[in-house]
Amino acid sequence: MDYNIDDVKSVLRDNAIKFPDKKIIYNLYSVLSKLYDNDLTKYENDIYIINNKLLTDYERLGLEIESLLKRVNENQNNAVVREILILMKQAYDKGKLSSSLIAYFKKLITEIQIILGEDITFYSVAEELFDEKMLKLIKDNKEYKER
Amino acid sequence: MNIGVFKKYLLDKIADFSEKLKIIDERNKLYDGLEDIIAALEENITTISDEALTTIIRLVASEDFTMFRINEIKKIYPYWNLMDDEKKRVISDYIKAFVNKIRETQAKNRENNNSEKEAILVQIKTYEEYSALMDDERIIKPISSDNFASFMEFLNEVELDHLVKQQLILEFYDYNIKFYKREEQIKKNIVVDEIKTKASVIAKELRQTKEVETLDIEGLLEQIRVNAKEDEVEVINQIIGIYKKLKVAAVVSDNELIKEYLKDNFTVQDHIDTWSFESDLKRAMLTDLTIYLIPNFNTHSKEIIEIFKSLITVYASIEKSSEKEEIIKLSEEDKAFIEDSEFYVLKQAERFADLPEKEKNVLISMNDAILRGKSEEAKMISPNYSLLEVTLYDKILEYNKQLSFLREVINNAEEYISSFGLEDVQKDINMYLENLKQITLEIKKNVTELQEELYGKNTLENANNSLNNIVIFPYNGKKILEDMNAISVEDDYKETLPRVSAAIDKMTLTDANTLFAITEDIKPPKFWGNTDRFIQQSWENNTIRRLRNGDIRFGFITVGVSPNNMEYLKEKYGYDKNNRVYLLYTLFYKTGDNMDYNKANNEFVVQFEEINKILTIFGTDFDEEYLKELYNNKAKDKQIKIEYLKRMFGINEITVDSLRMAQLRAIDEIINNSQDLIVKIQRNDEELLTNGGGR
Repeated sequence: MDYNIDDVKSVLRDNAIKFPDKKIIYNLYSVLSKLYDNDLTKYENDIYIINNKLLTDYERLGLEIESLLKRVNENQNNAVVREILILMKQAYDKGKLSSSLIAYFKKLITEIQIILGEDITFYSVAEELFDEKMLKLIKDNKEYKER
Repeated sequence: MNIGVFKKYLLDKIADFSEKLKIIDERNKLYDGLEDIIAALEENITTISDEALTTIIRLVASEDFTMFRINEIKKIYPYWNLMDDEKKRVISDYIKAFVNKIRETQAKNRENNNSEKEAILVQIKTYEEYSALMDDERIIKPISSDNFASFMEFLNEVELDHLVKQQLILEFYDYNIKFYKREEQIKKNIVVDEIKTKASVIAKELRQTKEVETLDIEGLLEQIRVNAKEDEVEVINQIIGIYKKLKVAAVVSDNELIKEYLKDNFTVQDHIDTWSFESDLKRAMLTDLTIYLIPNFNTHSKEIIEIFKSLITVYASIEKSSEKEEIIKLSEEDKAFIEDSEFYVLKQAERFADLPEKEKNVLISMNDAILRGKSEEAKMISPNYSLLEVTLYDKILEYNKQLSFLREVINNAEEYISSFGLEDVQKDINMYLENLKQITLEIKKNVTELQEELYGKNTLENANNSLNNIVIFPYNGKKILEDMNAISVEDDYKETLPRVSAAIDKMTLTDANTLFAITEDIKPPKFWGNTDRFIQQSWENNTIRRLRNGDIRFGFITVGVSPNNMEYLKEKYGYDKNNRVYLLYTLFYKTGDNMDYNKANNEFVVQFEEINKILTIFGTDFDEEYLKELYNNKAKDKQIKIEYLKRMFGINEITVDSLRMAQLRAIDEIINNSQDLIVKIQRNDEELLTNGGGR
């Protein structure tokens, strides 16, 4: 994790940054600050062991995409999220995903899980997602750069 | 329509087969009848009637054995003693060969008969299985995927109009696909549930790293309320209510970030934002109230009142959205069945609970072998388990699977109904319930067989002969009535009496072993405190057991019966050595935690005097020996005991007769009073409940 609590606080206090981004940063930081230096993949694997069998990344994504889709279908307010999920489902249904796409999908799903208020499951990408997100927010946000 | 035709076809076929079975049985009977004739044939051929002989010869008619020859033998047989040896030998050889031939034919016929019978039984089983797939109007069960192909083949060959057949094939095909799609969905949802639960456990662990310092928040709130301005009182009162609810529903989260972010920050929007940052709104609100808002109220009351107002609005909105209506409701009967059977199966599963994963796999592979019809192979996999145990294990797994399916569908009924329609979902639920009932029956049968294997068959059979256990209450039932009244306030009062009645039935009609299996121990407390040593001893000797029915829990002990009293009970109440006397001394509404046990344990102490009295009355023989022992006792103890007996029985003088008389009177009184109450309970006499109809 390349950022500290003060960086996060500045992001949270910044009025130019949108609420969903803040929520993602807040939740990821909360998790990562507790799991600092831990093997995050282990947490993810613990979650995805079903009947003594470790689900593959492809299977994990399938389950999450479907359960999230169900969740947003119930609520009409999440049109954008739903659109993203449908696109992901279309890609998923082709039957194979490259490893880079898997990582990308995991990050997307983590963001969606946080926005919808669910507990995150893809711990393996949490740290990378947090750093990417912070970098992007800082880069995009002039005020923060000038601070 | 088509389904009805098909069902009728199957039922007719089954009836045909049953007729055939009857004919085969008749044939077998005929063969049995011939046995005597064959025996007589060897002894003395002349005693056999012509008719019987004709029947026999018809069985084996050939060139060697003809009616003509046999009749000839029959004719000359009376002159046996006059015949020379050669002739005797020829005749007896002939008869021997004849008898052998008949025996051979009989055996062959029997074998044919039996194999024919077996084939028909298999056919009947198949037809019954298929017939169970539907009722008179529609399909109610899917065909297992292993049997689908053979069922389609079967369907193709039935003697029905070809158009009807084609439609039937389509209907079954359609139903099966829909059903397995639903089942697939349910399985997937269960996996997702498991994943979500694990994820939330990890998230919860992450939030609770150390104890959060907590001030006396309720005291602070009270202070705030006292000092509040007139226009603030309403808000503060609402906050107090919300705080109390939140405290039950959530725990304060320990998050560095929230601390840093909200420290000295009383902007309304920032607080609302933080609540929404956290996945659990209630937890976030509670944390905010406990750590920032309430402790800082005095210094920032103006800003905080505004935040309070927002909090009240947000809380009202989540309260509203969490009220969810049950869409599909199970009947009371089904609910009770599920609770009872789940408890029963859980109890049975205990014997496998401690097995390591590896051993469980052994059980599963043994079961696979049994299902393939290779029991011998199964036995070779591991000598540690009997085939019955293996089947039981499999049944328990199946039970749990079906139960989780049922729960999943009921809990998410809305979702399933929107995707598959109400009718299909209702059908599925009924099917899962049916399956559960079936499996429970099988498990019970299995357990009985296992018990027979372990303890021998006879003891169990004897125990089942006449079951008429005696249930009695302390204080002539007064205490139980009070308990029932207390419960009927919490529970729906209409359910109270039937449930108590069902529990008493269970105790009266169940043999001791089974009752032991369906109830559980209530252990005495680990720390006795200053409980009387005598009570402690009695407590340890009389294990309290807990019985469940619906939401009511019953605490009872088994009362020991002395030999003389046993004779008396036998004479007067038809009691026998396999019966038991149960003292039902308390009942209470389920609370779902250890409170159950506490209540049963407390009542044991509270009612100890009465309980001890009943134990003494039923468990002691007041005979010469008893009196001798009593008077030989050390002086101090003796006097106490004598006084106790006098007071208990209300007698002035202690003799064998007076004691015995008083004892029998007391036994009758206890049993009769209890019986009166039981009859009233069974009659559902609502006058027993003071608040009956009041709610």
